[in-house]
Amino acid sequence: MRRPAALIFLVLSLSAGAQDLKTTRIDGLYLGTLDKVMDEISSQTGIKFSFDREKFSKLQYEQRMFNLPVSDFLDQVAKTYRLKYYKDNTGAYVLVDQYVLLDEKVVSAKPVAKKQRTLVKPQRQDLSLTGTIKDKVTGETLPFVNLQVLGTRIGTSANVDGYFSLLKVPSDTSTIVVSYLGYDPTVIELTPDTKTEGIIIELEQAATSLNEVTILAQKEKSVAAFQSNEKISMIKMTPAKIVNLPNVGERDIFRSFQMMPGVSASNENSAGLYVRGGTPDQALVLYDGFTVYHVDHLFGFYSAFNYNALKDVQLYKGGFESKFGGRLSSVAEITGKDGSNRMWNVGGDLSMLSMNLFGEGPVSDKVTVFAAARKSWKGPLYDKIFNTFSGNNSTTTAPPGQGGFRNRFGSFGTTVSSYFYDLNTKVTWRPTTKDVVSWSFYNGTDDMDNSRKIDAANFFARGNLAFNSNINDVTTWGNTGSSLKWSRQWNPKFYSNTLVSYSNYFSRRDRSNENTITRSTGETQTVRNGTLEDNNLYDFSFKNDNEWKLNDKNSIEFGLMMTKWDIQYTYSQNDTSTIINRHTTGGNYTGYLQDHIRLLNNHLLIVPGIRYNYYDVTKQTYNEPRFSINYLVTDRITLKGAVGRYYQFAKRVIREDILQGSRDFWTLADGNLLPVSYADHYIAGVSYETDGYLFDVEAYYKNLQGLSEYSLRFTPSFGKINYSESFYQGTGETHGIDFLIQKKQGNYNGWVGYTLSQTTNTFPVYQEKPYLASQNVTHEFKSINMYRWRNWDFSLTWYYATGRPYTAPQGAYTITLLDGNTNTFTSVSAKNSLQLPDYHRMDAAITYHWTSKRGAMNSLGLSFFNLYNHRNVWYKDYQIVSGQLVETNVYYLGFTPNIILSWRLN
Amino acid sequence: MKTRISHITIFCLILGAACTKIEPENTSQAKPVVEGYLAANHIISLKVTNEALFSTADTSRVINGLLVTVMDGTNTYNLSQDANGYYTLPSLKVNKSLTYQLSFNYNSQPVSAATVIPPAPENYTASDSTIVIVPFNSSTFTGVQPTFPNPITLTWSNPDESYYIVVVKNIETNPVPINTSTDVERTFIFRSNPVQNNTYEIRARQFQYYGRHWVILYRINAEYAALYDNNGNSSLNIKTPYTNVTNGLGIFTGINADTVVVRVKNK
Repeated sequence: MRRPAALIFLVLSLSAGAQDLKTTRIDGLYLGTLDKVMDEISSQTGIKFSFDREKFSKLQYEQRMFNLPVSDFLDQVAKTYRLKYYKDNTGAYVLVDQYVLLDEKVVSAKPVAKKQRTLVKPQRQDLSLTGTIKDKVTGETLPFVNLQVLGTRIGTSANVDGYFSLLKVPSDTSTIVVSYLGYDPTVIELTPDTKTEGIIIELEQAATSLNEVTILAQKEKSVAAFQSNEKISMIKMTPAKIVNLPNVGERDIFRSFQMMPGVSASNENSAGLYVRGGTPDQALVLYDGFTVYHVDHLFGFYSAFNYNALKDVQLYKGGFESKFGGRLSSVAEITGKDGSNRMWNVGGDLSMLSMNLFGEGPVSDKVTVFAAARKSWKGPLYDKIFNTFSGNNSTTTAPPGQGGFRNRFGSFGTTVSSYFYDLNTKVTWRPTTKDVVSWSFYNGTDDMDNSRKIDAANFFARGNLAFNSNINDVTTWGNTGSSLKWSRQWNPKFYSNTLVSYSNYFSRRDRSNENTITRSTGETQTVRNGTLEDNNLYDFSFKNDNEWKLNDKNSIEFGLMMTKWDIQYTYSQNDTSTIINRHTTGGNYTGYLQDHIRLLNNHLLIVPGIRYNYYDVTKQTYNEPRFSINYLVTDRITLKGAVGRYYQFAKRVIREDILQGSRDFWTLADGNLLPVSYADHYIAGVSYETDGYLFDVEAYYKNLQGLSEYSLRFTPSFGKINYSESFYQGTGETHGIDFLIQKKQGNYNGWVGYTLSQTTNTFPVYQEKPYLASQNVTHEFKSINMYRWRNWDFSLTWYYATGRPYTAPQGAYTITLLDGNTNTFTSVSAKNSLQLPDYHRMDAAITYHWTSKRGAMNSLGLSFFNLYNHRNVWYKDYQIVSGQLVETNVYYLGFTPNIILSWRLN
Repeated sequence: MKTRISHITIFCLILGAACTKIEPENTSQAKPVVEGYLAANHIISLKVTNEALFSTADTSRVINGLLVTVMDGTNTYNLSQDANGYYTLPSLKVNKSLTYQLSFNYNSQPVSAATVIPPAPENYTASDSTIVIVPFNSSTFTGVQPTFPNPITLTWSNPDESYYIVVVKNIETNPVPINTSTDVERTFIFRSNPVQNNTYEIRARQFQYYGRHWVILYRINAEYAALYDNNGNSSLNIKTPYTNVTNGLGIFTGINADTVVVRVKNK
């Protein structure tokens, strides 16, 4: 293979003569691009500079100098732009990027020119290299970084703790390419003096750094916000990069995933992941190893995860490996920040919706802490979102002379108070270079009080009655999770981590009505009834994961996992009548084994795996065989495939509620009324990658069995009823194809994604034939465009999605009952046989970045959600008034601007 | 390169071709609504009307000229339409414990339903055959409610938790109201919700007239009980009214009944 040359753009200034930096002083206003400023200083002082003219020409500089030594000027420039300078043997001062500095154990801190390299003679062959990869500024370890020996297919990736172990490096003069999303790729040129164990490689964030070296043609400077072709159906996203993407008030990693093909973006009311026809409850969300069961903030408009607290996020859209389990559809693995071990830092974001603060730093040489807190504040944006999602955003199509239904309720007196907050904390202790112990804690809560008073003397005036009602409507939900993890790199070939975790999800709703009826006689009667719901889930888990790099062809992973659940759900309609009281406990015991097998000179990677479960509720075993394959046909074309079975034991069941909105609750499968669900995945794809572009296509088919729904639709709501019989079973099927074209580099970059899919469900209780699932989206197109100009980032995104299916009233009919009274019924269309209008939306954002005097990157962002104010229909609301259907469209959020200020001390 | 791209294209087409299409159901056509109660020892008589679609100005009306058949497991009978539009079979009385199957064609669609005739209620008794209520006038209340006597308790056997419904009907030709106020809406008939118990209490205040009342205990099927459920009101979670009619709406159900008489007396 041709070895791409390292491209060095060093342009020497033409000025001549050399003077001492400390004694030579400059005075005056220096304004313009940095290359011009350097030229001017050079011509004034006679000092020679050497720098990357192309890069410097893109940097704006403005400073009034008061008799300042040139050394101070250079120090300031170096600090601002993260450069360093040195005097070369011609006497010129060379300004280069600080991009990589290896630990003292590795001598080669900067690349050696090719000519010199050829003179170095290798002394060792076939060696192993181990070490840790860290962020240059904070010293935090970076997980899942890729390392590859240049010119070969030999490579590896670091584990979640940043450890790597690269086997079969051909010689001690090989070049290692280190690449990580959101960071500048780096080359490590080995020399015979290079130590091979415990190397520390530091990477720098790609934000605005100037590269002395642009590394490889095919892995050029990383500007992409995500990476999608590393493993089948896997997307990697860097929290740092989502700063530039449009948002509505919060930078949100889950919302950013919705920009990818295969992850639906047309659910504004859910931050959860609708991945390839799956629902959010079928997505496993792991935060530092513990499971998060509900990821919504503010009616699902934001996810529960504060981006400032996140280090790395990976999303598996399907076909995931044996080390993950317990969900039917997808996995989001989130790694929290450890905190800087170099210096103390604080920072935060302020937006029209919330305030977000974090602090991090080293407590000692071996202990770092990180803490972040976020709380909403009731600004106009908060109110707007709240009103949209609490149902005050609708227009009514009323038959002539009928009037909208909302008017019929007389006057609303609503006093809403609500908020959300979340807190992330992590303490990391590195007692030795081989061990890491970390404790992570998360707590997030939403509290929505939508209690109101209805005074509806007119609407309900019948005979001589007046009616008023106090509605208590309080909903609170949240998650608390914590994990304690110990990981150890026993030797270059064996790594293990052991974790105990706790996760609690709670959701409570108190909606009780106090209705007072006043008769014309003055007699009053108070009737009190309501709905009380309480779902409380506890998950206690133990996990042990091991990786054993047997040789350069086999990397074996195995582990054990034990989860104990205790889930309580009660649903009562008033103080005395409990409809559902379901308390389930159970445990699942899992073992898995998988092998990454590299064949055909590393062109073929196959990963066979098996996951074995014993579920103590059904007292049965469940085996999940899985297999994935990656075949590099050429350097540019990769064929990928995966098949596997996926079981789910803890499941979320939707409870239909007509008047007060459907709710969902978590419970455990019992193998009887609620079967253990499973899905079979079949995925095949191909990707074609050039220097600047990635074309990726993946087709998938998923077959789901043992799905559950809860509905009282077919159970009369009276008499002596066994409500537990109202759980219904069904199956599902989804197939589709995801297309992605990504422009990976350049000032203009971005991607377009398109998904063609169909998701159907078959619940015989509704109808025998399959029907389109509520989350079905036939066509979904996304265009994400980003442009960088100097310190400005511009982004423009557009989404188009076919409207979702829905069911609507169709007509009316009357039946005379046994007592002689007639009852009018509303007939309903076939299940999900109608389609909402297509969804489309354009968002835009402008972000200005600047570097503070202390070298911190700050930004001010202005974003516009739903730029052309398209009224996207969320759902339709119906009332039958005098035999006529009153249809009300309930809309998603309209045009919404927002400002976000992000500030960091260091 | 061209070959590679064409390979990729073919690959995508094969994958795309695997899609199957769900045919949308024709929702613009009104369905027939069946109203058929098959009471043991009574003749078969049922009504078929059309559903009034919201999208049209049509109203509910009887559908005439259908060829309606009923099968009792051994024989098939053709029903004839009487003057009121009811499809009847005067020659045959409904037999308990048999399964009856209804079928006809409407708009080229086969419409069908089946029901079983439940056995009669057993050991049905009322705690009292008379109840004494003092007349009153609610318009002249001064905050003190009149005192009502103890309720009448109905009991019957229900070991298998079948559904029952109680209907109370005044059978006097000129009944006298208990509440003499003029601004009260009164009915001669009232009912319970479907229950799966073996007991039901009729509270004294439920009676609105003096005189003899039939207290009918209907033994019903679950399909009829389901009619008493509510309707939905938004596309997020619409509720389909229950029907046991395939390709149609409404109810075709067997019932059986027993009756006791309760007299409401003035003091």
